Amino acid sequence: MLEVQSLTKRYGDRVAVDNISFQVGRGEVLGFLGPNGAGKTTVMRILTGFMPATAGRAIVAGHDVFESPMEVKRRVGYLPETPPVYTEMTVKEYLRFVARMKELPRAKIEAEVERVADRTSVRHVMDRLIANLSKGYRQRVGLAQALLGDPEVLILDEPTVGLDPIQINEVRELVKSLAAQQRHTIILSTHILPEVTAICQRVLMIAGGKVVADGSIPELTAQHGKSLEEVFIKLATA
Amino acid sequence: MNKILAIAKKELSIYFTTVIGYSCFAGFALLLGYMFNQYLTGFILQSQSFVQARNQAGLATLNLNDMVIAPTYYNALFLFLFIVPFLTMRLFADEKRMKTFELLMTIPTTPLQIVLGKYLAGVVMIGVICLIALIHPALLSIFTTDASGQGSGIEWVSVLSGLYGVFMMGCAFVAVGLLASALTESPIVAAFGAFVALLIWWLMSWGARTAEGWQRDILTYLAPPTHVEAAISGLFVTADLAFFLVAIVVCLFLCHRVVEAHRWQ
Repeated sequence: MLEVQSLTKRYGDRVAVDNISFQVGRGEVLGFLGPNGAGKTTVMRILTGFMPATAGRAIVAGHDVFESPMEVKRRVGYLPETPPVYTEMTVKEYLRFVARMKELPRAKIEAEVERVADRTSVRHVMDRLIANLSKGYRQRVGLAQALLGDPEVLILDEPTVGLDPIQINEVRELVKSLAAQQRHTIILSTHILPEVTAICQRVLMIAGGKVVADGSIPELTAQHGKSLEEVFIKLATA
Repeated sequence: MNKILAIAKKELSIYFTTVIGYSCFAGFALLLGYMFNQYLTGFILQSQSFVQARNQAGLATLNLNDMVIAPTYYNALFLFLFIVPFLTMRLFADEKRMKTFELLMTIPTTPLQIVLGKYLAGVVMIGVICLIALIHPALLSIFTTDASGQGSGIEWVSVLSGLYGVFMMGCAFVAVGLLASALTESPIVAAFGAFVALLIWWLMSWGARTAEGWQRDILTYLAPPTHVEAAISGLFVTADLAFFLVAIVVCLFLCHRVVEAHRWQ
């Protein structure tokens, strides 16, 4: 479903992503781990077509990101690190706008907006200006936007940052329920380790732009240490 | 096309959720109304002095179109120097500042659709502003009569032609403002940059006054006021339309390049 081959991204002299390769299958939930500045966001931005790689290939939902970015963008739902919401719009206006931009048929927009609003529990704030919503709600609206059109691939950059424990739990349940349908491929970056344990089948850890670990949680703990936390600290600082 | 309209609609809705739209309209209406009032007062004083002096020949030369509407519309152009940067400043800069640019670039749209959608929103705002400038000739047409005392004292053809000139120049200014906004993350810097660029463009006519020979010709040709004179005096000149269209296309093309280039940074 998603295949990354020797992906490299340089900013001038600085190498942000250094020759990364991995694959993610349909229905898989990949926990994308790494310390701050490891290159997680850069990889996600390349996969969503926001920026090109310096070298390497990325194939998402059967299309090369570089050669046919539009095809990839039609199949990917993306929640960036900062929720990309227009604070001057109401939640409903915003979701309708994104739905229209995602080429949803006009007749289906209303139902689809309501569907994602229900899934992210923002139904009761639909008519409020996003500027007046708390950070947690903005995050959920950002997530709702990513779910519009039921994309095959979901790329979520730290989806639970800024949420309270109840909301964190809701997002986790949401990701789990999406995973249970076995139709979506989900990449989720985070540095909250319990989150990974709770929802991801597989972990890809990068540090300094390189892959330092790739496998299921039991595999990683068997190889590198007792808990995921120990594994993380050991590999990230190595 | 659908996506261009969706983006334009979004921008327009933001214009009217924030105070930007209303304050531009109000500021324009207030300033233009003041200017109109000054020209009209001048016109009245002039006609009174002709009446007192029993100067029939002088009275016959008085014309509301030439003495009130045309100068008011020249001033509307001047007001655009201040209003347009304010209208266009956040179109791209705010997307980058608020990180929504990342959304625009990861949903299935092309940079061209984004640029055209945003430009269209700016053009609609200019269109509404031009409608405000119809109030003044409308008032004159209600309260004045022509020399024979029959029809109104306003020739609508030259009013509309003048307004078309104002609109075309406004559209060209919006393209410049949009480009400035694409170049920065800060709306303030975008507004200031657009203002300086527009002022330099406008002031080319000053340079033309002191220059000589071919330099004078070039500066005169490039200055935007040169290309609205005919329209404001009631003439439609295709070359003037072409001038503004070329300016718009060049700015939008550069703007498109800038948006596209963001991926490569």
